[in-house]
Parts: sequence; structure tokens; C-alpha cells
Amino acid sequence: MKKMLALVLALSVLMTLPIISTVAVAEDVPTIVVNTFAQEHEKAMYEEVIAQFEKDNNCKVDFRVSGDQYWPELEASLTAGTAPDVFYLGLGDIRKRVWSEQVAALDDLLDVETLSAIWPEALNLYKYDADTDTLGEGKIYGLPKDFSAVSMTVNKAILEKRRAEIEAAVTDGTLPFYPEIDANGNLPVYTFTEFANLCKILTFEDPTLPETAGSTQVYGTHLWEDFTLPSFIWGAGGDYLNEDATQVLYSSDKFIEGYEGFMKIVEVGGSGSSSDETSGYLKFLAGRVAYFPCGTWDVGAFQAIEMDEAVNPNKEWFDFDLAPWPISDEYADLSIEERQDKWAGRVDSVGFCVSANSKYPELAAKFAYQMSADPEVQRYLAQRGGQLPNLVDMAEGEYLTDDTYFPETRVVFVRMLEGQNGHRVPTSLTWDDLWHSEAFVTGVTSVWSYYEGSDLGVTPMSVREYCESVQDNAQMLLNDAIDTMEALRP
Amino acid sequence: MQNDLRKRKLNYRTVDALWGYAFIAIPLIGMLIFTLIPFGMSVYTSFTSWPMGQPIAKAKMVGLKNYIDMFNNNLFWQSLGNTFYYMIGIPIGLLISVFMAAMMNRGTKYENAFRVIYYVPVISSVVAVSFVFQKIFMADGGVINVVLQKFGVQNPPNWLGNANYTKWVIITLSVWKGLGSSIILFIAGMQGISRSYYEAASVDGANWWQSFVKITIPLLMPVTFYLIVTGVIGGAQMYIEPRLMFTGNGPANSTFTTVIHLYDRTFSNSRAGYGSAVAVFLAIIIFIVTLIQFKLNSAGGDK
Repeated sequence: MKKMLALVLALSVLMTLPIISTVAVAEDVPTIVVNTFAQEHEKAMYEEVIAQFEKDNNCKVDFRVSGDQYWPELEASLTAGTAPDVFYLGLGDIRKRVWSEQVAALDDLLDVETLSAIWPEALNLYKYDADTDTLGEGKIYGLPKDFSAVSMTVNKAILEKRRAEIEAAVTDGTLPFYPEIDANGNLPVYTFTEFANLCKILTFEDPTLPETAGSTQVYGTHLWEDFTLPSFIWGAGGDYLNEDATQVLYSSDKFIEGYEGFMKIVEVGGSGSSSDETSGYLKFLAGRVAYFPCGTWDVGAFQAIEMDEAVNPNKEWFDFDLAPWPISDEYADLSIEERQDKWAGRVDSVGFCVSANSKYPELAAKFAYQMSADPEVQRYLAQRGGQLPNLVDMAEGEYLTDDTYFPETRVVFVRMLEGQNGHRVPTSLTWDDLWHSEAFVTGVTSVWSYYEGSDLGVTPMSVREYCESVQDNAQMLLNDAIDTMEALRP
Repeated sequence: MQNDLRKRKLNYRTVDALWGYAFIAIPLIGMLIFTLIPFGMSVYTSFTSWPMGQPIAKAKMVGLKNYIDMFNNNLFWQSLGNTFYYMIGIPIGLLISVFMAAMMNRGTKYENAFRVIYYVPVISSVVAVSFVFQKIFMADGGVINVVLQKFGVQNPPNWLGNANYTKWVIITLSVWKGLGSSIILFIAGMQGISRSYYEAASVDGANWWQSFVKITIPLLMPVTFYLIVTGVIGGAQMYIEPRLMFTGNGPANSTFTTVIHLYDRTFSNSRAGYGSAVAVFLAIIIFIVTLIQFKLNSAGGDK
């Protein structure tokens, strides 16, 4: 018996030793835990910046990158009271985290004056006045990791291969102009029908490409509703929600028009045949999709392929640039100049927030500031295609004029952030997004089946039929979200 | 003297019992902390509106609202239907594995090699396997469709994009991945059957098939029962494979399972009250189904 007790005691001591030693090591220098999500190329960029931060501040940063389960993991850690010192929050989250006292106000931790160089539109997204319940005013609860925009990107190498066909379409009036910026700097903004026709021209078999996934079929585009439909809705002059985000507008005429414009590309055969996002992305990277959405964070990955002489000599099959989203057919008679302010893409932001329970709130806030507003860091990240500079002067100055930045038409991003062609993501305006993710997105296969004319194992539905069928459930889920928020209001 | 001995004996017994309790205390405390208390909390939160990420003190009682919402939600019923549809794979897997086990139990030359080959999927990462199956079944350039096209099929099926096929892709993966462990259990069961039964049957003129149906299958019932129960419980918790192989919920929500619904509502949309209601309902269903299986098994055993 004594032997057994001794064994149990010895095992207990052995098991405790590593914990004690870890604590001892951790106390040597201040350590903050930073949890974010990032693509591989972004992660590599951040690691370099973080190494410098550790050196400058004699601290340790435990940098953790989560995959696509970042948000659920963050929810779990916030609930358990084990949130990292610094983490990303989305725009829809600020108010609820302030209410539950989970994020620290940065006003008390930083010199607020130093933040005036950040895009005011972006910084205001992280302000909240709890006394008057006003977003955009009051204390600052986060600093933008980036102020992002999603335009279209075009693989100009594909356009070049189909130049003759496109020029013929311009000649016969199918297209009003060639898809390139004109001499006056106007972007080639097409209507839904014109864009669908262009995509049809760009859908062809290209035997010069190496086979990827057993195919060399090139498509005009390959879009999916969850991420890219908003641009079509805005291009039609519609929206997802009314002004105060209390009414869902799926069955409104403008919404339906925008969605029909989206599906027109599918109907004419200018799109990939499935709504699978990954598949479309991989096809774009393989030079098999001409038009694709491009977030500011994607630029680095696209640039890496473009500049890789070993796999893409002389930009033979991949030569990307930015392009505007299409607009309503109602604007078909407008000149290219008049079309410039009619298109819109999503602008969004995630921000660095500091946990209210952080052991080192000043250090955590300093880290957030360093990543968000330090000119050197911003220059470093922007030159590697991770984001646009958060600093207005830099974004509107050297970012546009200095050739070390890319892509060529990066003014598209800047125009979106300036508000001319940018809209906030509708789901960031509500307490949760079930009214969209569950009520709308889950059934879109029926619409694809209708316009592709293919059997996808579902009842095919036209855009109008589908939008009208989901309206009531979506409104009910939005009402639920509003009720939940009201119940939690302090 | 006798009294002293009895006391000492009792003391020994008491000490032994205490040690026994101490040893079972560890799993019991574990079960209390990791199963019973969370289950009790789930039942409680299922009657509340608790936005995940907020302190549980902020949960507000809403009565049966979450259950009513759940029963009125078509997507919930669709997820439940899909979850049970996947269980078609259980009898298919059992049939294949019992047949394979019988083949491997005949003392063939490469018996051990076959056992290893069939067990490899069991120890393979489900993440890796899911991605491999995705590549196999892709409409555009997937292995199966490339082969079909070589054989002249002009428009091969869109396995991952057609709601009629998607569930069968998942079922195929589940059956394939589960075969190895079922085969091992069936072989162990077969080796526990006395040779004398087969010798007697042989004397009576029974062939291999008759022996297999009349002796092997009935005597494997405990193993079969175990595999069905664990298969149903595991099937009801299906999450990883459809989540990894399909974007969103698959076409027309065809790969959307109850646990995915639970997870999405709880963690992606912060509706932990509703998610708990789904979890409690699913637990009740699993309990009832398992109870029925036990009853049926004991009724079969009585015969």
C-alpha cells in the first residue's frame, strides 16, 4: 500500500513540474497572446513584424493563427473567460462585447491623438458611446487591422487570348468598350447583360494551359452568392436591409433585379458550373477564370503567381489587375464617365481589440497600435499585398504613386474606401446573420438549377420565386436577432 | 480473540472498499464534470436565450421558445432527416465487413496483409481522407469522372454538386473508413466460435454458406449489436466529413446534419439556447433508439 501511495505521489510531482517550470519561464518577460486568422502569406508577413515588436519591447508575443473556425473559437474563449490579450473583432461585434465588458477601451491605454492618421471612416467603426448607445462616437474599442475592400480582379492574360473576339463584340455593339481603363482613367463598368456577354466570350477551352484538375476549360467568371452577390444588388440600386437594418429586402424589386443580373452570367453560360468557392478560387489561380472577386488581402497571393517567372514566364497565363463590379441594365445608355459612381463593392474591417482581462493591457494596446497605425508596418504590409495602408495620407499618396505597390489599378480600392464605390457588408449591421446565412444562402442551389438548366437534385426556382419564398423566414430570424439584442441591452 | 479478528477483517474490508471507491472516483468525477454537469447545463440553457460569448448570468428564461422555434424550423427537420439517412451506411458496412471477415478468417495466405490494408482507413486522419474523397468525387477533373469520361460517359454526374448524390458520397466515405474496425471485431467474434459447431454441421452435410448463415451470423449477434449501437450513436453525431467535404451545407442542404445545425447556431451565431435545445433533443433521440435496440436484442436473446 505504501509503495502505491509513493508511486501516486511521485507521479503527481512529476506531472506538476512542467506546469511550475512553464510558469517560471513565462514570468521572465511579459507575454501577450495574440489570436487572429490569416492566409499563409499574411501569416508570414505578421511573423516578421511581430519579431521586430518583440525585440523593440523586450516581450514575447504568442502569435496564434486560427483557421476558418476563428469566430467559434473566439466565442468559446470569451465565454470561458480565457480570451487572448489581443484578438480580431468584426464590426457587428463591438457593441455586444462592450456590453459584456470583454473589451478594453483603448483611449485610456494609448495617446488618441496619434490615431488621427488612420482612415476616420475605419476608426469610427470601432467607436461606441455606451451612454447614448451610438456607434461611431465615444470611446475607441479597437483599431482596424485593415480597412478592406472587395473589387473584381481580372486576369488580363485571358483577355489577351480572346482579344479578337472581344473587339468583334465591341464592333457589333454587344459590348460598349474594351475591358480596360480608358485614356481618361475611367474604369470599364459594364451592365449586367454586357458583363454576362463578356463572360460568355471568355468561356472557352484553352489547350495552351496545363491541365488543372483534369481540365483546361476557362470560364468568364465563377461567383457565389454569399460573398459576391451584394455587389450586384448594390449595382442595381438595391440593398439587403432597410436603412435602420430592421427590414429584410429580399423580395424587393431592386434586390431581385440584382440577383437576376448575377444569374444572367450563369444563364448565358459564362460561369463555372458550381457555386463551390474553393473550386472557383483554385481555377482562378490556375488561370482558368477571367473575373474573380479580389479582397485587399488577396493581392499578395495573386502577385506572387504573377511575378513567378518559373511558372508564369512573361505573365503568359496570369496577369491580374482590378476591375469594377457590373451595374443595372437600366444604365445601358450611360457613357463610361457616367457609370463610374454606379458600381459598388463591399468594404469591411476587422480590428485589433484588447481583452478587458489582459494582464498587460498597455503592451497589448501598443501591439494593436503597432500593427494598425505604425507607418513602417503599414508600408511593409501594403508593399507585400496584405492590405491597403490604414493611414490615409499613405493610401492616397505613395500607395498610388509609388511603383513598388501593386496592382496597377489599385486606385479602385482607394475609391471604394473613400466611399465612392464602397458599401458596408450588410451582415455586419445586425446582431447575428442567420437572416442571411441560414434563411437565404442555404437554398440557392434551387436558383442555380433553374438558370443552369441542370438537375441538382432540387426543385428549380427562378430568382423571384426564391426571393419571395425566403422573405418571411428571413424577417422572422432578423426580428429574433433584434429581440436578442434588446434583451441584452444594459 | 474472534471479535478482534472480525474487527481486523472488517477494517481490511473497509480499507479495500475505500481504495475501490478512490479508484472509481476518478472516472466518476470525470463523468460528473465532463458529462453530467454539462448535460444539466445544456438542459437549463435550452430554456433560456443565452447568446454565446456573454456570461451565462445574462441568459434569460424563455420557456419552451427554443424548442418551438426548433420544431418550426424546416432546416432542423431536414438536418435530422439527413442524419438518419446517413445511417443507411450502417447495415451496408456490416454486410460488407462480415463478408470480408469471413473471407479473411479462412486462413488464406495474405490474411494479415489484408487485415492491415483494411485497417489503414481507420487510423487515417479524417481530414486527409475527406479531402482525398473530395478530389475523387469532384465533377471537374475528379478521379471517378475522369475514368467515366475515358469510358465514354459524356456528362458524368456532379457528385458533389447534386443533392441526389452528395449523401451517398458521405455514406461511401463512412463505410470505407469504418470497415477496418468492424472486420477486426467480426474476425475476433468468429474466432471465438467453437469449431465443433462447424464440424457437426459438416457431418450433417451443410455447405460453407449454410454454416455461415446458420452458425456464424447468429453467434456474431453480440458483436453485430455492439456495432449497430455504436454506429447509430456515432452516426447521429456526424459532423466532420460533411463539413470538410462540402462548402456550407452542401447543395440544397443535402449534407447538413443535426450536429452541424447545433454547432452553427451555437458558435457561429451565438444562439446557445437554441443550440442546447437541439443537443437535448438529439440526446433524447439517441437514448430512445439505443433503448429500443437493447430491448430488441434482449428479445432476440431470449429466443
